Amino acid sequence: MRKLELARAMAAEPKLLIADESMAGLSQSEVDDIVTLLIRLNEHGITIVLIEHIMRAVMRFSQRLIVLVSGKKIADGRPEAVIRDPEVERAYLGQ
Amino acid sequence: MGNSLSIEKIDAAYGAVRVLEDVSLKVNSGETVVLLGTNGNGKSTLMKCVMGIVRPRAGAIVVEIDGERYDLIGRSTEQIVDLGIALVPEGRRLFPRLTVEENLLLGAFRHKARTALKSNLISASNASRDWPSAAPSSPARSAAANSRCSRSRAH
Repeated sequence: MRKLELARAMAAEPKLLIADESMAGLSQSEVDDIVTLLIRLNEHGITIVLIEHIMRAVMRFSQRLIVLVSGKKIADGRPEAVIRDPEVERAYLGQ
Repeated sequence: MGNSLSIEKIDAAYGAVRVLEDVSLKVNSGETVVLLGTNGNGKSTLMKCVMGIVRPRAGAIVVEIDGERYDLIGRSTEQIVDLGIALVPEGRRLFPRLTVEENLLLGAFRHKARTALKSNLISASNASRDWPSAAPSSPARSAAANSRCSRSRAH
């Protein structure tokens, strides 16, 4: 069903695609499939913004990671750096 | 040709509840960006502001589509979709009583896509067909990618 939702969005020929938790509830292999598709769409020139919690997908897909907490942006940068940001760890990762 | 998004100092609220406070971000052309945050921190609201679903109290949202700049504040969702911006909302927001093909047709029906409706539909189906390692029994794959099933119900 998630694939159909993405396919429907793609049928509008978007230049900018926003997907809100499009991988929630999927198995690991299904998550991998969707990330592969999104990367392929991006390679065709589509700018993509994801709202996503699945870190496996986040780290594989994102060139940049932005973190919001209580309606404010607290981090914006390369994923590897952002997930090690102490404020992000405290607010999001609970460490 | 650039396809970018600029959000400047957005404030948004649901009634008296302030949801976004002075949020600015830039998504560069061709970039893949993830918004992270626990539930209730404003991520979906921010994207709803981009799509014209939620009206921000302050701030600016500007996109560049094929090199042309457009201010999104004040535009309807239909106009924003027509510019070439698509949202896949959270939750299952398909039309379960419509067929897969009919769901895809609805997606392909923005004004600029109408002239290429048939080819867009084929592209969307091909995108599903090309999915690697999707189980043949997956409803989305079997229904969306297999033309024999293209009229199956989307549930």
